Amino acid sequence: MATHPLTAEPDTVLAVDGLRKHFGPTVALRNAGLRLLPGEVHALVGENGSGKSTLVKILSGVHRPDVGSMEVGGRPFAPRMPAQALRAGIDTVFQEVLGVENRTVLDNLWLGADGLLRPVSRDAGRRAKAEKILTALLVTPPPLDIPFGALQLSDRQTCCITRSLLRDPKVLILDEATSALDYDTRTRLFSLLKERAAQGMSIVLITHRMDEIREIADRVTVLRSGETVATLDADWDHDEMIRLMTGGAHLVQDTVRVAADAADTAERPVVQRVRGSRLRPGGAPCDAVFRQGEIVGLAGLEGHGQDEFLRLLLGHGDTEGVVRIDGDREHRVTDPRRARDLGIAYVPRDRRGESILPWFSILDNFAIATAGQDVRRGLLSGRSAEKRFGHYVERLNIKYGRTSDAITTLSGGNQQKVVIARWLASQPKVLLLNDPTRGIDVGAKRDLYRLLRELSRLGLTVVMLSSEVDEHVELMDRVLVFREGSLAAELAHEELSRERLVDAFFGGAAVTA
Amino acid sequence: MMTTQQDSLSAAEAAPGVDAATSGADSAEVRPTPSAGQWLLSLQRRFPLVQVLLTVAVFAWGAATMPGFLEPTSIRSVLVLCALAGLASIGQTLVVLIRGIDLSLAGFIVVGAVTVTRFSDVPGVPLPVMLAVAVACGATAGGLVGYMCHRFAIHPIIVTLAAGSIAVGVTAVLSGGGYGAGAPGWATRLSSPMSSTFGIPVPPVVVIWVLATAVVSVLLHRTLPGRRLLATGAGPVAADLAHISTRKVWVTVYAISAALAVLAGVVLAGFAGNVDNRLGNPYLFLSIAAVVLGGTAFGGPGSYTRTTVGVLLLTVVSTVLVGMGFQEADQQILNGVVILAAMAVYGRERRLRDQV
Repeated sequence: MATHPLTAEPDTVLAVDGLRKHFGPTVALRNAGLRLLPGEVHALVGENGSGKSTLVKILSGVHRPDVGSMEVGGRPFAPRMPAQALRAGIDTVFQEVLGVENRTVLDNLWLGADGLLRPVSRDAGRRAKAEKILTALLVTPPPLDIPFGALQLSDRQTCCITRSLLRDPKVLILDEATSALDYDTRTRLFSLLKERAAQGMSIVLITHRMDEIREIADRVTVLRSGETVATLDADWDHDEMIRLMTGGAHLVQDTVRVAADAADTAERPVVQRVRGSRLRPGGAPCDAVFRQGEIVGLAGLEGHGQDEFLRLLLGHGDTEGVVRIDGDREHRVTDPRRARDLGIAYVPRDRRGESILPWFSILDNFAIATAGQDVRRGLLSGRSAEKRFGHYVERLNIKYGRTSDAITTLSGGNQQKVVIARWLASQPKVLLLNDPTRGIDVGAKRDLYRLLRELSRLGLTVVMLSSEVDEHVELMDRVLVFREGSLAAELAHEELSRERLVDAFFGGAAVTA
Repeated sequence: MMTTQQDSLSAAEAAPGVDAATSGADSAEVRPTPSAGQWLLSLQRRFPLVQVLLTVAVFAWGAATMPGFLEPTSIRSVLVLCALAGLASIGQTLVVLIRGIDLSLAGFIVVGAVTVTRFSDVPGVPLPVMLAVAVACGATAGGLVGYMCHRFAIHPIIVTLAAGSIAVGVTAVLSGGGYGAGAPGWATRLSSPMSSTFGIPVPPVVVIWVLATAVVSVLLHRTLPGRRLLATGAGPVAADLAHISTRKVWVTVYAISAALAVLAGVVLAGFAGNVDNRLGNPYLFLSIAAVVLGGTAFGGPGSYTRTTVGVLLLTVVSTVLVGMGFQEADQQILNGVVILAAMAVYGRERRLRDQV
């Protein structure tokens, strides 16, 4: 679409043109370009598989492009390894938390700063600098001497960002690095980033969250199918952005939600109930019911008990008061296996570590939890699995080459759809999802929302933990808000808004459950 | 062939179902016809093509340079050696597929061997019963090993090293230090290159190996327990969350590995004639080398067929080397180099680019 002439403005920090990169038969980048000005926050957006990550990996020296030119400060730039990109002043924080778990937080913050044999600067100076940034980012910064591995996910990612900030690069790239941060830290990070940008640092922000882009980005570059299609100024229009990202194909009405009638919902039978269970020792007991065909959100700041609650529904922890109700029969959910037998399915959070079997094919990944159904005369029948998978391909809009391809050939969103199909195939009555849309693109999210809606209409109860406020507002019939290890509030769909929800996160007035 | 997403989506709408999804491949993914090189690469990833070609080449070389290499007796001897190594490597393959390793193999081979040489004529206990007891003991010990590794998260190197040592020790104590007179005739006939199987001029051990290869392959790739085993290796946490009892898999796999090692020991006793406590050592090395060389990675992907290819390659190479007058020391050097080369292709950790 848009072509990029090779006439970079004189003060461009980073100029990238005509980048092309393929991996085997897959073309990841076709014609990618980017112009980065000094002191700007530049968002890079696009659906999964549009080439954002590849572009970032090229800029950070992980991959090398097939064709294309890159210039930093007017000089040719062709990093052959991450250290060279760092030396040129380009520093990247990846979505995956990269740290050495059994070294201290301080060591991790200064990782890579030392020479091979001796440290370059003194410990005391390092502490002070590290503390300054950490206190700016976190309300309760972790002690610098505990092992990195002891930190929570959000804090670990904060440390990775801090590490890059300490190096004070010319260009800071955050590749979905904010997705693991809790709301509060993200807000603090953004104000710090604005400050740094004002001092001249250029920041490239990759995120799937429109609100983040709206909040902080000066300009936005949109990638689609490996090609840079446009660079927009801060006053971009939401629909226009979606159209650019999707090429128009996904331009459907913004909300897929067909609000379930509240009165109607209240009369539906209860399928699962929690009574008097504690999420943590000494925490307040929780009570909650889940009715047939409703979509219930679990929300809260990171680490405030929503994870434990979801695990409770699955049969981990204090399951004394957790029951699955089937008509007038109640069954206690004692452990995860029992939960499965009672029709409770769980889609885990960490797709790569907990969901997918990396070298298994797409089909085998789908079938693994229900493979018992494919046994014919003692042998597994591929045709039977194929047939079952076929039911979900269309409904979930799963895009793939062949079912025999490895699951890792799919984009994150499509992998997640296969995982969800895996659990739907077990025909659950209650579907538990742990932040299923984390790091997947807008189009795939839409597909997923539509699917969950449809399933709930067919009587499936969906309980979904989400770290995205918009997701709760858009999708949920009801949201349970957790705070400091217990159930703090319950918001019905009519009272849901971004403001109400965030307010409840921080203990604001809300209807107490 | 550049397909815009618009095109592919409209195509998807036109033909719903599985076909639609096939044509609506991921937006940035274009699949040009793969070149011959790419095709070979992807084939190599699924099948150890290079290893097969190498085996054929070395074999052809041996045939061309050494008189008598193609004699039926000579071929049968090579096949017997392959079968012995192959039978000893079944358990190792399964164990490597669940991200483990089994160093107790050598110990359990000795258990099986001593059972036939020393305990074959215990009064009042018929040999089949004796063998069943030995296999059951092996399986129990192996199961315990698998349980300990999984339950207490101890690295299998440590547990199997200990278990193998204990197995050899217990055997020595029970047998009072002696290793018996030698294998009974039936055991010798199993692996004698001269013997035949039901009239087929192939030693029984080779037939057993061929059958075992077929059975193991079907069990591993076409049945539910096999699928669970592979899933446990591919993603332990994911498998657990998919309600596969990974502990049961570990216990079972190590039990099978030990039981098969005991049985391999029985065959080896017949082959070697006289037995001592070092009988299993070369086969421990061979089993690991064959698995790695065949291209089975820790945690998969892999298969027993691959190990079979590894066994063939290793055996043919060493036979040819012996024929050319190389010493055992030279062979050991070459074996080491071969393993390093195989590791360079298959055994590496994921690179940074796959992790971020």
